[in-house]
Amino acid sequence: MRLNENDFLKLLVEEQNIIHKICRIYAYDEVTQKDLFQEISIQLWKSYPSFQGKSKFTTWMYRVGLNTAITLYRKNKRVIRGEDYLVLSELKADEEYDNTKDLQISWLYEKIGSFTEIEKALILLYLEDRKYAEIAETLGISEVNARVKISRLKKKLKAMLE
Amino acid sequence: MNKLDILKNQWKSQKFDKNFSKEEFFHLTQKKSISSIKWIFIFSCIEFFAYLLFPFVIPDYFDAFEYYKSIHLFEFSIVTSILGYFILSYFMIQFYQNYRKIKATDSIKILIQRVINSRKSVNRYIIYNLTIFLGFLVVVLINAFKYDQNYIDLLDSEASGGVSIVKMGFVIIGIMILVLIFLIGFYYLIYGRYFFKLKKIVKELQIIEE
Repeated sequence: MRLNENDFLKLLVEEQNIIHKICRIYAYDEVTQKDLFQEISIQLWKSYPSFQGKSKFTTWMYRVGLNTAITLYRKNKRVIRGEDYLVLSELKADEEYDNTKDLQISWLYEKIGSFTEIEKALILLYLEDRKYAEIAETLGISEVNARVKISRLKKKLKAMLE
Repeated sequence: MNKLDILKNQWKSQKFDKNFSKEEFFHLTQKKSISSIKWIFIFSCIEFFAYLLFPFVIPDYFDAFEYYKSIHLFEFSIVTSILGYFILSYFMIQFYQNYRKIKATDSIKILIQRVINSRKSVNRYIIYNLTIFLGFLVVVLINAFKYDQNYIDLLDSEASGGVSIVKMGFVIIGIMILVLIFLIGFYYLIYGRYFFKLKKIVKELQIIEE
């Protein structure tokens, strides 16, 4: 299957939450997030001719997105991590908006923020319910090791929830 | 349902304020990339051309060949110069190939290794340059002491109890150390933090694999 530009852009629009999540995990302020979002989009655009439908589109997106966030993206300036998200979500809150849920997600992002770059990737793929084989392939490690590492991270997360 | 599952469900149902349309995505993708790879490649090009331009910036570079002739090194200097440009071209091709090989669709592990390897070839290039430069300097100095009357006189003053040659040796070594410190500092500033981070990730992946 070869994608044409239009189909590719359509898929990007449908699956854009993947990019949003990666940006929020790996970049801590709005400017850097926007910057990283743009860079991931550019990298996806540059790599899509090589996408041949061998892997699922989303699998491929995680891979390019994470590679960009971890290795290819270079911050323009040093960013100081803050708790902007909590403030932001409180400001946004209205009747329709489930504030507690949003706060919890913010809490989760904040916790993930203290993980290493690889742990961030692992936890994202875990939360997104990706298969161990896919996780292993994205990172370039064996499936068994991916499983072990994720079960450890789950424990770590659970302990944080207590 | 345990707490982790609840969290996972919340994670999956999260929404983002900004939703990009097809047009907006297209617009985004047409912007300039600021990827580190591109940046490393650009820097290696700058380093490469800086060396190529070297002869034209130094005022007496071409007159130097006349001098080499006088100390019986003319053929040697010509051959090393030509050979130098061949090796330079080889490096430039390697830089470009490294740059081309790096794909965002590789696994994280392979990608990082490729990035590190590409930087290693730039490092080899710099080490090669410095070695050639120093090697050439040594050969020229040896021949200068053999054939150039000015240098031979320096040796004589040493024989008659002068310290000028020892002093000069110290000055040369001192300058070389300063240049080296400057170069190391310069490369640390440009590449240090980034490669330190990459190496940390490689190590982490190795630990997972153990």
